[in-house]
Amino acid sequence: MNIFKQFTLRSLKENKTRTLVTIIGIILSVSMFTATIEAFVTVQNYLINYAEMYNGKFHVGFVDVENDDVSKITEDERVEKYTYFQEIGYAEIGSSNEYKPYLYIAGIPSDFTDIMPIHLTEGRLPENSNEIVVSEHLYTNSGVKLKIGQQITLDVGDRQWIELVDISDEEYEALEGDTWAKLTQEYPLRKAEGEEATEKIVNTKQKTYTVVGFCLRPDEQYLEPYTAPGYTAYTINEAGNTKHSNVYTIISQPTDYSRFNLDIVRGIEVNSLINHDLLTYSLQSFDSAFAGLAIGLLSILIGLIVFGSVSLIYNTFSISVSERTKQFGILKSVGATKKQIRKSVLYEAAVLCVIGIPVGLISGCLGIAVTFRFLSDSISTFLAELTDLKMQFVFSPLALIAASMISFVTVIISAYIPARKAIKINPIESVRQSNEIKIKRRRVKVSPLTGKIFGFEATLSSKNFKRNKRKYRTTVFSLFVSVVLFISASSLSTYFTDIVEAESQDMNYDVLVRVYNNDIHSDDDGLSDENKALINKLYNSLNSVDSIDEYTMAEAMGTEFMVDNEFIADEYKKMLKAVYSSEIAESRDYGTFVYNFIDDAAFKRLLEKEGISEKGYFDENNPNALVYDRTTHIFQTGEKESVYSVPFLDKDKFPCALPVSDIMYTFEKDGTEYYSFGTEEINGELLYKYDIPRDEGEDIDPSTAIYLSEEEAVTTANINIGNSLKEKPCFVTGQVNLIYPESLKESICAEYELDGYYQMRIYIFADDHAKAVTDIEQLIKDIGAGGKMSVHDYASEIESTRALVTIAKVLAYGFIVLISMIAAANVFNTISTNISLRRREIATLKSVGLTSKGMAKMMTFESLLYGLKSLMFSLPVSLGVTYLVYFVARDSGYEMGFYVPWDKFIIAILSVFIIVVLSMVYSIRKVNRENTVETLRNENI
Amino acid sequence: MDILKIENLSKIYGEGENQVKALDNVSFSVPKGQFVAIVGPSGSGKSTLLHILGGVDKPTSGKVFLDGQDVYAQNEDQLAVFRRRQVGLVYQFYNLIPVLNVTENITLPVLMDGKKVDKTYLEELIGMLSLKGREKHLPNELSGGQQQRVSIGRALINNPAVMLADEPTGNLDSKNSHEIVELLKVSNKKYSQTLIVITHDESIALQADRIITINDGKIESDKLLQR
Repeated sequence: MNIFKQFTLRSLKENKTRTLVTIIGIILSVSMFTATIEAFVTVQNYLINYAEMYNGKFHVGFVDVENDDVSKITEDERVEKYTYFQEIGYAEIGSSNEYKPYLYIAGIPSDFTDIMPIHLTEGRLPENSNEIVVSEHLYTNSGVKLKIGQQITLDVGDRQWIELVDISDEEYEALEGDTWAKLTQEYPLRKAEGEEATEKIVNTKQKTYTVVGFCLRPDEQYLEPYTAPGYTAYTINEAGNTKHSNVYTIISQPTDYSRFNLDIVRGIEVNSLINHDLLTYSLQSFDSAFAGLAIGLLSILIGLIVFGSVSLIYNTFSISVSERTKQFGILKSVGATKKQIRKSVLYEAAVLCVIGIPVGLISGCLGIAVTFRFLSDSISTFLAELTDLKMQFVFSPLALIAASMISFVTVIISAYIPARKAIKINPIESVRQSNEIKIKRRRVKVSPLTGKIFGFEATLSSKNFKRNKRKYRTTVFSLFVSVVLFISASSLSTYFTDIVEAESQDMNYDVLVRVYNNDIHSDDDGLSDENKALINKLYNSLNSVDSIDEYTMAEAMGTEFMVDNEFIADEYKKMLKAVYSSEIAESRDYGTFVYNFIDDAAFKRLLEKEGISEKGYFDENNPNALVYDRTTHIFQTGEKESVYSVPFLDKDKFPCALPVSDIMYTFEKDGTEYYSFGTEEINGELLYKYDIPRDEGEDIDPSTAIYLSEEEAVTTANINIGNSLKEKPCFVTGQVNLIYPESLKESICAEYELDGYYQMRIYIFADDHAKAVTDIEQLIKDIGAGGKMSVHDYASEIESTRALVTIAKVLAYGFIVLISMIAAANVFNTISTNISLRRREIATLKSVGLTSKGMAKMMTFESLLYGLKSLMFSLPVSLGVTYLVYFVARDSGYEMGFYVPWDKFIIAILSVFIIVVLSMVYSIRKVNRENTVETLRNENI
Repeated sequence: MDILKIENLSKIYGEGENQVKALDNVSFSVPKGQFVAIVGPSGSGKSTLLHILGGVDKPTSGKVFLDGQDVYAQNEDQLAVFRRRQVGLVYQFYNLIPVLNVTENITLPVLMDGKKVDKTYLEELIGMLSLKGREKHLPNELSGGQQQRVSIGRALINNPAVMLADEPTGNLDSKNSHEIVELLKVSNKKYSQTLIVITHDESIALQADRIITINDGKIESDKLLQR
């Protein structure tokens, strides 16, 4: 072995701790590079799989391409692979959805699924032109039930404008029939609401198909438009079919998709579809925010790691090189060339890399693989609607090579820069080391106060701190980065968790079932009797579903009542005062009362849960109401939002007969409708004004107006209130919620006029909510209410948000821990080597009488300087970032207070000092172990 | 009166076969105000002797009495204070603190004591050391001779009972060497300090009151020079 290599290896061995710290530094940074890149590749791969699964593998697709034009696309040299589906025709299917009356038969080649997705839920794909796979949506949405193996005979034809049906050629000419658009899936059904369709199926041919499978509804963006009038059914394309097709292409240069798309679209005038998700995830398209964000984030992370590792490794090398400057000088004086010395330093770097990089690669891969294993469930919950797409760790050799290369370059650069310095020094100077410590007087100037207050040791340590400013700066900066990252990431996750908690707070049921009144997907306008019957039917069959733990049906009706001031809660009054800076002006105030009728069994359960006796609650003549009364009010004044959670009624008055009153809104007199126009004081009496309808802003006309006295205009009643509920029941929606058993509905409704607000919903609790949802959906189909009810899995929504929080937390904290470890290693390295550089000085101080107490004092002061310097910058910055996070979080619409994360601050402060003090103690001990005399006499440092 | 008394001092490095006797049962005493030169070949044990006298190294056996006080009966901290007040050490390589300026380096032992610096004495010292005008300089702004004068100043600031110098001129040219020796002699006379100097330079040794020659850890000869 060459003498330089031996020299290098020996000096590595001699400084075991430093060599170890350097190797650990290399391992840390390599594993962080690896983990970051691998995580990126894994997530990217998952997203690509996801996009391919849902959107297909194509890059650019073309819609409704005329038969003659297909070859213009497929024969373009940029196209690597393609597939298509061709219209065979439409057939009436007897759908209950009036806007989607057809089955749309699409002919596909047998290798269609190589590029485009068909998600079979049952059965198999078609193998010939007599077999079809039908979209499940046909059954859930139209109610048409088909079975596997069933043969259906259809009249398959083309959609045609009604104006063009059965007309003579002349008429067709006159209407310029050629120019009318061909009705394809892109065109919704020609039908205005409440009227007959203005299109027809023509040129029909009878065809018989065998149903061989069912699939999920085809993607609405790329395969079956949301407004398409036909449910897709796939069959194998017949030879000789000459109708238009949708063509999906994979191109050889995905980055050129835009150019390719433009060329084709200009050439044959068709609409195109671009698989943006796939292109962005595979980083071929930079249009979307995703690519920018992903690349930006990755660069920031890698930047941080590079910074951390370069400063760590650079520090180590610069110290080891300066320690060996004298040795280099000696080597040079006996004839070593610059090149040889440079080689020796680079050799040292290479040796360290050979040990550090493989270990780093392995630990990085392991770390991220384990992390993803833990997170894969969360990630799937968050991202995938289909749970069978699991996130798999992708072992990417390219990523590993990239990580090794970046790390190797980092190490080489860190080793080379200090070496260059050592090489430049002339041999005699380096032997003498006279140049090693070049100090400027001004630089080590310390305020005389320091010495006066803290003693002479403090002066000495702050002078030392100043002397090594540059080295200290990197250390201080790496501490700074760690602290800022730690505090901001943890406050981010705290706010994030807060949002999720706030969101899930209202969740006191797992699944909600609603019935739609029509296709507008809402039940706000009340329900038809037919729908009431449907939901009752469902309710009555729910006991057959095992996956449901508990369920309640609640029928809610609401109205507004006025309540006397004395019954209104003080908190409510205070809120009004704070918000409107006024007392409740009149002697009474309006409150929204919602009557909730829940089935008797559920009502009894509720009483039992709250520990309330049944007495008085089932009394038909004079029933008590259970009350839940607490509402969150949000007031927005400009930028500021204030939130109050207050009751309306004064609970101290319960139980009681609550007098409520209501101003008559309208009445009929002599065949004329009169409406309320507020009150007016006339001759000291408060009168209620009524008049015939007026335009907005117009006042009443005294000639037609009628004034009623209070007795005439105001109806009063008493509501018997029993107990107030402590816990919010799942079904409550209004302000003051009165809860009664279902059996008393008739008698109560007879007594009060309950108009306006009406709801009928089923609230379900289920541990396995996903299964419950599937079971309920099946049940809905079975009772023939398919497409009319919605099943909302509220629990999974919360779960997926929670999953996102978990992912974010694990990744953020993982990264912070690693970067903090690099920072810690950095601090340790700087401090320990710095002190060993000062061995001789310390020995001198000891020889002129520095006691160990004085030494401890000096070192404590130096630690303090490190800690304070880094905290001085990092704490305010962290606070700023926390505020920024708070600002963003608040922008997301959740009211929350800004708080200083004291706990995180304390953790950060303690960690910084622990690291610094430990490094000091370690180094001082090492120095103390050495013989003062030896150090003094040893002219080498 | 003997200010310094050494009794049966031995220092052994290593163990077993590798054992080296740096000092082998050395005894002598030095009266106050005497200028002693210790000479001997490399590795003879003279530096070890000096360091033991200065309280920076511990003897394997034997005792050192300074002003009647048993030096090694003290604990580490007491020893540190002892070094600070009773001994002034001057090294071949100056061993100044690079971040402290001339004044600060000279007054270091006083500062460590937390005491006030005697300004008149300091000025007198700086004048004597010909460092006037360089009080604010840092060590790396000084020549070798100047640096050595600072270290002598540091050794003298507490007016120690004994001044120990280990090859104080070993790193200096003849002109500077001469100046340093003169300085040491002046302080020896002026403050009637006991001065023990290790040297290779015969011309320095011959200026002493007494020359002790050490070889193989033993005193080979002990001569008083008559003037």
